[in-house]
Amino acid sequence: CIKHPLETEPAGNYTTQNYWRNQTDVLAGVAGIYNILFQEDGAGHGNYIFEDQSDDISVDGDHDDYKAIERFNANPTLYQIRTTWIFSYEQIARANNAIIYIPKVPVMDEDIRTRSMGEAYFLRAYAYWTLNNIYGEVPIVLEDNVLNGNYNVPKNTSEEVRAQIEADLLKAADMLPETYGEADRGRVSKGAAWGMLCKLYMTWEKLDKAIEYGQKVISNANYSLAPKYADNFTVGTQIDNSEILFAIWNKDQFNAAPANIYFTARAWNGWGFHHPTENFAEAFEPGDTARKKATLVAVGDSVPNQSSLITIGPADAYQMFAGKEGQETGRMLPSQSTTGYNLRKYTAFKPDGSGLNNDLKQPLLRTADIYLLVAEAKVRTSGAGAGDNEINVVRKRAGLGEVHGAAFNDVVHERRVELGGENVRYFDLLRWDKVQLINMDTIVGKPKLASPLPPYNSSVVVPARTFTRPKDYYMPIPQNVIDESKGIITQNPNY
Amino acid sequence: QQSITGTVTDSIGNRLQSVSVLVPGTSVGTTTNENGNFSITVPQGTTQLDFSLVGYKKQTVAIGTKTDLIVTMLPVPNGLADVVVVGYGVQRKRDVTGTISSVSGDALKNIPVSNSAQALQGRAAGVNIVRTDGAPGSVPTIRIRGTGTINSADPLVVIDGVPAGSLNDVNPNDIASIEILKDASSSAIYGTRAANGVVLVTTKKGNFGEQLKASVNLYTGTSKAIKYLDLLTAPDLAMLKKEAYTNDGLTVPGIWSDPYYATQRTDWQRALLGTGKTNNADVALRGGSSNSTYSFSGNYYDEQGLIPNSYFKRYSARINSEHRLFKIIRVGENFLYSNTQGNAPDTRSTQTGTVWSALRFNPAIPVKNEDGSWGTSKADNELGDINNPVMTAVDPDIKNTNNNILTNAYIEIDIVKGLRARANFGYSQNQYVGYNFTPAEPEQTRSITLATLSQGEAHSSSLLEEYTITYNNTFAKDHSVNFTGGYSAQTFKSSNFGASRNGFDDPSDPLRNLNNGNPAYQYNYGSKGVKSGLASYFGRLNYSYKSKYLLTLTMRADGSSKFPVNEQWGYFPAFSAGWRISDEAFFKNNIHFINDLKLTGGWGELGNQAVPDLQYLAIIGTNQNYNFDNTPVNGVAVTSLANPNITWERAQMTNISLEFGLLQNKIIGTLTYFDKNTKDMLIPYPLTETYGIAAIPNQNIGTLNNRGIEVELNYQNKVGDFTYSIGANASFIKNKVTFLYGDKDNYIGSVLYGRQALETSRTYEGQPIASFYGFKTAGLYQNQKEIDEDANIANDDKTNIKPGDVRFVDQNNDGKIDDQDRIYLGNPNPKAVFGINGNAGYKNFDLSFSFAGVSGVSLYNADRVAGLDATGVFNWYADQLNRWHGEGTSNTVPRLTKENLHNNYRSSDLWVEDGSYIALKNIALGYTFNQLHAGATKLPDVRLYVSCYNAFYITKYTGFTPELGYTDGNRQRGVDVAQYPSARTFTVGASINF
Repeated sequence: CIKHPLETEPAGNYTTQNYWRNQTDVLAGVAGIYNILFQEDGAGHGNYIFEDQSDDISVDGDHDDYKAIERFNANPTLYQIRTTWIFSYEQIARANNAIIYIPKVPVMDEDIRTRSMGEAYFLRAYAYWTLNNIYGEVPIVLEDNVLNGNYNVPKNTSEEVRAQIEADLLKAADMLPETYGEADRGRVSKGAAWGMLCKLYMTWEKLDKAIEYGQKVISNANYSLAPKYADNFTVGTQIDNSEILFAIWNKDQFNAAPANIYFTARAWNGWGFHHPTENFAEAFEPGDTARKKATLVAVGDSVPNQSSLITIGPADAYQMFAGKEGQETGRMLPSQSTTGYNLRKYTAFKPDGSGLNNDLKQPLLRTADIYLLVAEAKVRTSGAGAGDNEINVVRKRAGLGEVHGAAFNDVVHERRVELGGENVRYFDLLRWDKVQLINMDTIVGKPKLASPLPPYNSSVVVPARTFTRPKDYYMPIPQNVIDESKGIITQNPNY
Repeated sequence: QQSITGTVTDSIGNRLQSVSVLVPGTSVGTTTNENGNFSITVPQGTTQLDFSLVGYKKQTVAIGTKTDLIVTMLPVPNGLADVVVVGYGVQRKRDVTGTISSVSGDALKNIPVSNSAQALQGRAAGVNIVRTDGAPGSVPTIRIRGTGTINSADPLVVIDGVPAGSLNDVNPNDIASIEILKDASSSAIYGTRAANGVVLVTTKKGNFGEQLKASVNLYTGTSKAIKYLDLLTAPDLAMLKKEAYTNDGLTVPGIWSDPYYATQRTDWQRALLGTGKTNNADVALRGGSSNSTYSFSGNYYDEQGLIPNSYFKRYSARINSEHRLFKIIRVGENFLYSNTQGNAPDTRSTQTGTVWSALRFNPAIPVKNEDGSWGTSKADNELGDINNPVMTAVDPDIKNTNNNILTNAYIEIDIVKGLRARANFGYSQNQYVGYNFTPAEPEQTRSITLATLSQGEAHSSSLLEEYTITYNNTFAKDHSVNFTGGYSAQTFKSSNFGASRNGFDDPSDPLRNLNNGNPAYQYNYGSKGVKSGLASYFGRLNYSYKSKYLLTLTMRADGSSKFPVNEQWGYFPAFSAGWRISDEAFFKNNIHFINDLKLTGGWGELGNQAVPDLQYLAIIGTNQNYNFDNTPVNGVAVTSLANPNITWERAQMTNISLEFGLLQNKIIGTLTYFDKNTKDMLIPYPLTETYGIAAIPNQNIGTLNNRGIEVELNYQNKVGDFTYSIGANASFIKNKVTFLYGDKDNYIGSVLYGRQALETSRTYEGQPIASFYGFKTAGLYQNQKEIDEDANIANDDKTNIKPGDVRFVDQNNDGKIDDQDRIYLGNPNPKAVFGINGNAGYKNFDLSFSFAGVSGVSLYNADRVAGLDATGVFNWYADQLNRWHGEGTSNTVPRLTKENLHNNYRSSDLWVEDGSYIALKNIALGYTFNQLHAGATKLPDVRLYVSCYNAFYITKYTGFTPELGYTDGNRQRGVDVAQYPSARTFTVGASINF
């Protein structure tokens, strides 16, 4: 006979009533926040789409929402507009839960408790940073909102959002350790929090504070630059890399490492959605070969362990392939890019030749970025030459000669080539345009061009675009968010 | 002379009084007493007796050497004694006060479908069978009296008294009858899960005292696609692609000047959709002795779909028997085992769906290259990131196996006259075994770098126990009382596990086992489902006075583990009453062409708890893992939020029905009005998407109304050797969400379609569930002057609008087109659902047909958006040739633009079409060879027939089929995502009765 048919236990499920009991639960809860970084349509790849609005990269492929964004024709119903939003808020939700429950765990290692809180604050700040960069004013959702189930709150001003990011990062910087033992490699450190504070203050135009926190990173030997530029983007030299302050720790056969597949050419088993432009390729100084080779794959280049042999077709028989139609090659062919280039940084193949290597980590924050931000802040506060030291550290590592009396434009150049394809350039341009250090019109007003070599012959891949202020400073808020909020959350200007 | 005694009962064991017992050809006779017993002294040499009673078929019974006979009387179809199966029992049809549609097994027989619900299409008023798609084994959705809730609105299926199982497990040829309990009063007895109606399936059984009979059914059929869509050929596609780029001043990609891609090679629809086959064989043995009945049947059914590798096979066996002990005890059992195997390709995805891919894949690419490798789109981004659809269908080796057991055993004891106790124990179990081997296809665009084998198993089971007491008596001759009371409890549990490995050095079939995969690339999982349960106490009282005034009262207390402890129990009353007007003297004496007239009415409330478990708790989901030090670590996150107050959803239903029989019951019919209000409907609280991606728990908020009229009419007649019958039924239903969130702005959304992220369906207060939503359009702008002067965009930025773009209509008269201008565009729930069925027989010929149709319905042709959207790097519909390319060239197909700055393909009425149709679902012509002899041996009767299923559709809808089904629970219906198309099947078959 059936006894107690209505008695049910949450078999196979944890709930907020039976979780956050001990240290193991805390570690898993924190890992769950990091987990959102893997999202294909979020940090893993989707957030890179906004970089395609710059002059460096051009969209290819069949995702029309990417093209609309690239051409400043975004509308609130685009797929990507929504996914960047919801995955950022999911990261916030997970961090909020950790921040609510970690202090309540009765017994655990107090160092790990403090560190875990620091990680949660950092990751919450990072999500708000993403939201603020892309959408500008967004609602702030914190612990109380979770406990009261109150998610329909109006947008906060950018000032308030940044103050929230600042507060979280300051807590994180206090709570996080400077370095980790081997078992915890991949967690965010004090240096990551300082670095993000530096980036935040630059965007916020608080240059003195940016210098203060930037200096903490670049003066700390734990965060020194990797010996070689390419170490940051090469499987095997990323794990013990002091320069990588914060990265998505992809692992082959564990997560999909979406950047690898989205950035690699179709013929090489990727999807080839982003092609660097000639405008970008030309920005490299003639001697800047180490960075250029680590950043770009050009027609005729090969990549280690890339094992697909492609037949040279009629559209490919140019440059080194002229007259070689019908032969096979493992080198990049003209048909693999609309511009003549692919991005090298997110492409890796397995040593056994079985395709893309998803062990490739995706750096989200590097010490080199902080060096150049400190340099920029110094140049802008103290004039040309004030940032020479920091710029030259970065140039020296790239194998280039020193600069002297570097002005703002030199910083712009150095950031562009050092950080190319890392989802930095466009957000630099935006913040500079807002304070009229540059004019976005002159940048997007030039067409995106392909290589001057045949078969491209400098063709226009994206015609000159028009940048509308203030509309194009930010993306629209997703339409469904506006609709669901019943008018509490309002649309960004001009959408 | 010889003395013979006996007992006469009806088919359900009720003893029959006043049955006339007569020695044929004489006047020697008697009648049964109130206990159904008789005693007669017959002349020497009497070999048989005739039994007759009004409403029952006359029976002649051989006496043989027996002196104590047990005789079972069978009712005349549609006669007064006709019984229908009701919850926990059967009832004479004339005494029923609720609304029940009954479909006899004959109507479902030998129709080439895997699921008998498909054969029910067009058979019963108020029952809408919505096909999910045309894949073999696909389970249609059954909607009784409209979609009653945003949650699961599926009716409860009860097979031989066990509320479990799926119609996919039952061979349609085993079904004796299907009863559909539609109103609150009749379904109330199954209250915990009856809010959306109850489908009672009764399988064929043996009869007491019946000789063993054997029957065999065989048929074989072939099927073809009913329709193909018109797509562009390669030369036209290349020409139009060039135009699209040129229109925007863009460089035309080189591929479109490459003669290779201007050469037509493949019609992908015809490459993918081939010939299907259906084969069926079943055999049944049924009979009984005086104290036992038994039935055995076995079935093999094999359906191969239009798409290669899509199939459904079923092997099933059914056994049941019943035994009488000591005249007061009956024990019996039903046992069903079925093994089904199948594979249905994904035809929903807009990335990998096979039909979607076939409609989009470039026609210049061959199915296979000269070297035997599959054609691929990898050569250029302009060919899209889709894989060869034929490869996608053919390549994988997929087998989904289900082993099902559905069984019950019961004992009934007649304690004293009229008082019967019954205990019923049921058990059902499903074991699912999945096998999927996908070979490596590195040359495809969505490349599969390593061969993958994944295997998985899932188990679910359910235990049922029911104790009921029935008291049946007649007081003072005219007051008849029937009480049924009881307790029932059912529990459910489930679990699953599985594993996969990638990388097989040798992918050939004999070596496909997990151990041969690369252990570095392995994955496994397993989980235990929530144990859940239902419990109820219930009582039902039927009272009738002279069979003229009828009353039914039902009361239930229902508990469900879906809700927190203090919210588990709900209390649900129902009542109904009937008045047999035709039994009143004033009627009988004055109106003669109406033989039978009964008015019934009732009201009741039922509970619905078909929502996910544990919603009163916030669930922390595992597998939210991360990687530190290149070592995966466990991660968790809240995957669904909590509602601590969740409780029963309620459906209140009012029902008024008029049943009539005219012209000696040649015409019988029913006319019903119903009004069903769903209250406390469990809907997700409208959280703004600043909470993340966790599931939102349901709250008891909404109300929904379905009201309508149902009509059933049947006419049967006989002219000489020609017998015929025709039946028609229709229901007219209005579905409206009456309360959601208390305002007009809030809604329940649904999944978006494709890369276009097209929002097709929203559920708003004041509108039907899952209505279409978007912009109204008024043709295309033909010239710049029309743009400049258009009042719709008087205050709008016109720089992005060019002639040939769509003119969207400004709804709020602010001279701007923005999101405020989106409105209701149509209702995917048909206003009318109807069917027409007929049978005719002439001598040994028989003909039957069945039409089904809907009207007053809109469909959203999302596939047409994909087929015309010029931004897409795919093949297009041939209709693209009719695009706007100069003033007056088109008013419906926009100009070609890659940049699509005006967003011509946004959700709008351009894509909403009339979905009304009428289809000849089945037509069959048969001839029966009987009384044939081979020498002295009598041959069995053989019926040979030919039939056609899905013979034709009459519809204005331009897609494959107007039967599109649901694509996101009840939140989205009638959206064309290139579902598996329906097939037309020609069948020949034979039925042999030994």
